[in-house]
Amino acid sequence: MKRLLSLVTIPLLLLSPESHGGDYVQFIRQVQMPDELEWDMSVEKEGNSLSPLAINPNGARFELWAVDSETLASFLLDTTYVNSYIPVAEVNISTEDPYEIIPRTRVDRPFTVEISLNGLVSDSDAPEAAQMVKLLRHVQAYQGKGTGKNTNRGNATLISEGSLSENGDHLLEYALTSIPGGDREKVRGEERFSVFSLTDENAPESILDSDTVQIWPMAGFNVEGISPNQLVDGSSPHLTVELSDLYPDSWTYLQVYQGSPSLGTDGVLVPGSSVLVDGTIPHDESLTVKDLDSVVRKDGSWTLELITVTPFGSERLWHTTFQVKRSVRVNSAITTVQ
Amino acid sequence: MVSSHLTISLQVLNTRSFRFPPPLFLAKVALLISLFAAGSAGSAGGDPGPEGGAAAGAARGASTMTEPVKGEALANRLRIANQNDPVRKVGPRAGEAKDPAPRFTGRDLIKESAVLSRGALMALLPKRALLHLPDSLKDSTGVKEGSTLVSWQEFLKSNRSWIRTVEVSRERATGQKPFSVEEAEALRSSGRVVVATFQGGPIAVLPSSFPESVSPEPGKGTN
Repeated sequence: MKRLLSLVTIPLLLLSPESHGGDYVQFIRQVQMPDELEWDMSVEKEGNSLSPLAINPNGARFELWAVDSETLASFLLDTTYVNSYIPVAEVNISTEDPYEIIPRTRVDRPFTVEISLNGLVSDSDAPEAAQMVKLLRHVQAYQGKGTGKNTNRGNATLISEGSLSENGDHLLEYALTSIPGGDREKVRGEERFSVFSLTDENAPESILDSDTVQIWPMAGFNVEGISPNQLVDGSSPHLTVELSDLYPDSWTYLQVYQGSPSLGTDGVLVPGSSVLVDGTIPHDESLTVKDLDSVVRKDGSWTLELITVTPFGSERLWHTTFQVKRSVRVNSAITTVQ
Repeated sequence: MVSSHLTISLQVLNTRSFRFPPPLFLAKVALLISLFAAGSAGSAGGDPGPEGGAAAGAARGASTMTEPVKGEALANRLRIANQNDPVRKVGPRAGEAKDPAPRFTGRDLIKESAVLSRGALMALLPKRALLHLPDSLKDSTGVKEGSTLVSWQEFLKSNRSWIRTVEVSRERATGQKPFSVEEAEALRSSGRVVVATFQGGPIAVLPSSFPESVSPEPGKGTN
């Protein structure tokens, strides 16, 4: 019989997103139960090999490690416990963001946890570890502008737990993250969902699979240089735009259009106001916009909006209205004298 | 900046039944690892180009524009979500009360391993794979500043003159077929660092499988 044990993706960038450009030594440490005897099997960056060290009769834990060859920072990328009657679990988190390296989303957005279980038995004579698994939900906030680098995941908070005793797919829907933080818009961190085996005669409670979703804050902004209903009777003012926590996949810009504010209006992009982010962490940007004149030519009422486009759609972050009155009416009379 | 990620796929090929105690079964684990390189954070002014992400690729005005949910409305959503956490509804708490996760997170592999080093290179191995360390070679252990970590195989290739490997079976590693006193003494008398291996990879050996030295010379085991 063949069965798929697990398929997970755990990115290094979750642990070290910014400054790693070096080489990694990667290997699998197979830990034989019950003595926890370790055997190291080197693995290539890509490949497929069989473990010749039989796991029977007491099971084994497989740990996939990557170690930075210069800094010796070690990353446990994945781990799973395999035994004859221990069920197989697979945890996958999905979000609205199609980013493939790691599940990620924003603090106000939903995500889904899908857990697939195989190998659970309903035989009441079977060990408890064969009849059910433990499901844990951990949250961990990144401090300040943290990105997850150098975060000690041993300090994550267990906020809820339950058990699963039926094979098949289990779907858990979350409206938004529960990572703690007073200013909800600025919460950043990660949530981890893990399936553990129960203690059996060979091993303590062991991780079968887990997945982590990274949560980023909502964008912040400050626009200076223009006030509501300001009258522009000469050159348009220069604007200073401070943007913070732009989503790692986002496009943020100013647009203008004639008339009163109307959500969803497709305006004209203000030159020099466009910020494109295509990365792994939120981004801050400071802009000075000096060319409003090139798109504001006519007199009348105008609306200026700050828009951000993310995998979650287009959102208006801010807007204001200003009046333009540049044309000068000259009342005069021409007379001739003969 | 470069970021990367690994994909591991484990496939168990076995024959299993649910007789207890569990029967012997043949199990092999296929390991599929993929290391990808991917672009990292970047930002630029100007209109989005074709290299941008999903959001950048979205046409302006293509989707309905909204205003983000903020402040009290966001806090209310959280309150509702916390009251309806699906994890609490799938089934009652089970197993031990203590959170098992910290056993697997925040670990430091270097502290959990033995380090052999010489020149500019270092290698990791399970602590109990180091069967014998002569006094004269004690300087060859531990992390050395400026050295680079390489795989065990690469390290061994450059350091065979002072490392002796001894292939052990699973039964020997687990103490079912221990080394004899004579075999252990013979390995110690080599004057080299002795490392247990299984199919070329370093493997831990239970202390009971490697008898302690019966004489004060030439050295004592490190277990």
